[in-house]
Amino acid sequence: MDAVVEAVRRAFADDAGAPVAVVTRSLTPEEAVRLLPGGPDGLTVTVPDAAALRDLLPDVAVTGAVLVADDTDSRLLFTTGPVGRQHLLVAEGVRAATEELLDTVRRLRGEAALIDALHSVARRLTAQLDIDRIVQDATDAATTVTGAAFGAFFYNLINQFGESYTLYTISGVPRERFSRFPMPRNTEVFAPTFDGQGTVRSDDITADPRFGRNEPYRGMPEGHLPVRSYLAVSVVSPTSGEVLGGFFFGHPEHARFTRRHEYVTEGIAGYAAIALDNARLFERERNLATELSRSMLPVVPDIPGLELVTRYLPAATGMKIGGDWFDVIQLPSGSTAFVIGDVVGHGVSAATIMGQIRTAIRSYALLELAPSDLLRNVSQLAGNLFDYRFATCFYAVHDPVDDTLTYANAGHLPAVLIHPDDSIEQIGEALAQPLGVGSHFPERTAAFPAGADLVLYTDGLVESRSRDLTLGIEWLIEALAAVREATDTAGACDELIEKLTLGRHDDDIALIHVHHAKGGAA
Amino acid sequence: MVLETTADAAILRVTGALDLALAPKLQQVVERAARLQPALMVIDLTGVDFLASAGMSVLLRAHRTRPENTQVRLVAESRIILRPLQVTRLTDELEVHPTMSAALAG
Repeated sequence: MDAVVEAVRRAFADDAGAPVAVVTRSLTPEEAVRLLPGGPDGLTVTVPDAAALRDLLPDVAVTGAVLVADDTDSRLLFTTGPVGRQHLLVAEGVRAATEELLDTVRRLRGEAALIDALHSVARRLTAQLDIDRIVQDATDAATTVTGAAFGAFFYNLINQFGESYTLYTISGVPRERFSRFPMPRNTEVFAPTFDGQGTVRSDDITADPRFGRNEPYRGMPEGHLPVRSYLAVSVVSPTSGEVLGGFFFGHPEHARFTRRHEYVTEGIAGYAAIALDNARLFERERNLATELSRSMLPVVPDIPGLELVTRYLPAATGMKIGGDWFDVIQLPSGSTAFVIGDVVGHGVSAATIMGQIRTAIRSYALLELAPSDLLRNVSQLAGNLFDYRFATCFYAVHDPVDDTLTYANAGHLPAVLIHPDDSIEQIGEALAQPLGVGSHFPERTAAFPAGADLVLYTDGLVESRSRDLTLGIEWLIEALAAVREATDTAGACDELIEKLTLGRHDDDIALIHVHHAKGGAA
Repeated sequence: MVLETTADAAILRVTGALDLALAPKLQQVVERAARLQPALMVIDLTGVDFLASAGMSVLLRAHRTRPENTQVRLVAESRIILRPLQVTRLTDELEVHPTMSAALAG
């Protein structure tokens, strides 16, 4: 900067070539903007506008001036002497010499900004699984980088009945501007995009031979935003090759979209396709896990003398599903087995392991193995099923002949036993290690006469990130007293779950509530 | 998750919720620590505010797959950590100390 200022200063001379006195004045950013409204473009040497100069220096009779400015500094050199044209030639010379360089710098900066934009869009898009946010983000980003007046993204989804339907996002204008138009149909203009044949870019779509050939509108519907420049890019799934949707950009002026805009938009469309693919795969996996764990829910038998309420609630958030289960099994001897358990982890793998363990327990239960033997055998099986993952399980058998409950517990939370006199007892805490870990499962026996309740539950009911297990169990016990008083036990159980989890359980929950009715089969 | 090593101990400090999301990361750090074959591997759970079963299964695995001459000890004092370990009786085999100095002293 200093060297250029010095060179320019020496260029001020009269017609005979003799130097004239030059004043060098550093400008504040505000003053610099007045002389150079567009701001400097790299190191800029220019002759300021005469009117702006008079405005800045009203009391000085300036005969010649040159402004030297860069991003951080601006200096005005001027004289009031009899100056010739030499300083003008130097200013022009510097401009000519640096123009090509500046062009290159500008172009490289443009490239860098583009790569930055693409990169950040890619990171944002591929880091999320929420389809609505992906499409809106992608539409906003592409509309911004193309400088379009508005952009839209139409995408196809398949509903639960297997039917395809189309949704869209809009960027740049309020959604209401489009809401009264029908979905774009597969007309000649739109077809290449919806068929995935490639990008369509037009300087003036109204002059395109494909435009306006379809009834009823023969062009754009009335009230549509005016479009001349048009750019449309297909979004194609990288895994299936299926067209997921299309980006459409419009601008009322002629020839606004360039080859570069086309290139960037294709880049964003590529990332959007990956993100949409991920979201769809995630959705599919989640539905599969939900479906799996639902299909494994048992049919609860009617058992004379017992009033049963059972609940299974998948996690309310995310992919957290599939580890918990319950079962109620009628044994050949007339006893009833109650099972509740929890496999570590979530998702399809936890759900399938749970299915196997549940089946193993059912099989051994029907052989009438004692709780202690049953859990030992299942634990041995489970040890081979999973690698240091484990499952907890509470297994209790009610014998209606002597009204006893015989139980064993593989690392599961204690059960709650409410005696006929309303006193509450927790049973089976820390009797043994989980399935797959422990090898010895002692059993205990408790009286379970008419008027008693047994409650089995999983940790999702009493424990969360924000709730200490010990407190959770205390709250459960308090809440169970109210359930016992209720006439509608099922409704009271639902209320209890709602109350304990505040409606926001991020783990799955299983619950068995057994009431031994007075005057039952026993 | 931080792994510090001294002459004969590898110390793993875990903070936050040791749940399904954090468990695989702890598993990785445990494996890294085990490769050093320290005489002592201490997993400090003092900064853990939630211990899910996925986390417990990593702790169990760290203990059961430890290198031949390595001892695994846990540091935990709060009920939030101790109760789940007691309910599952993992305390039968996992060595839990109330403080880091107790764990290092054995």
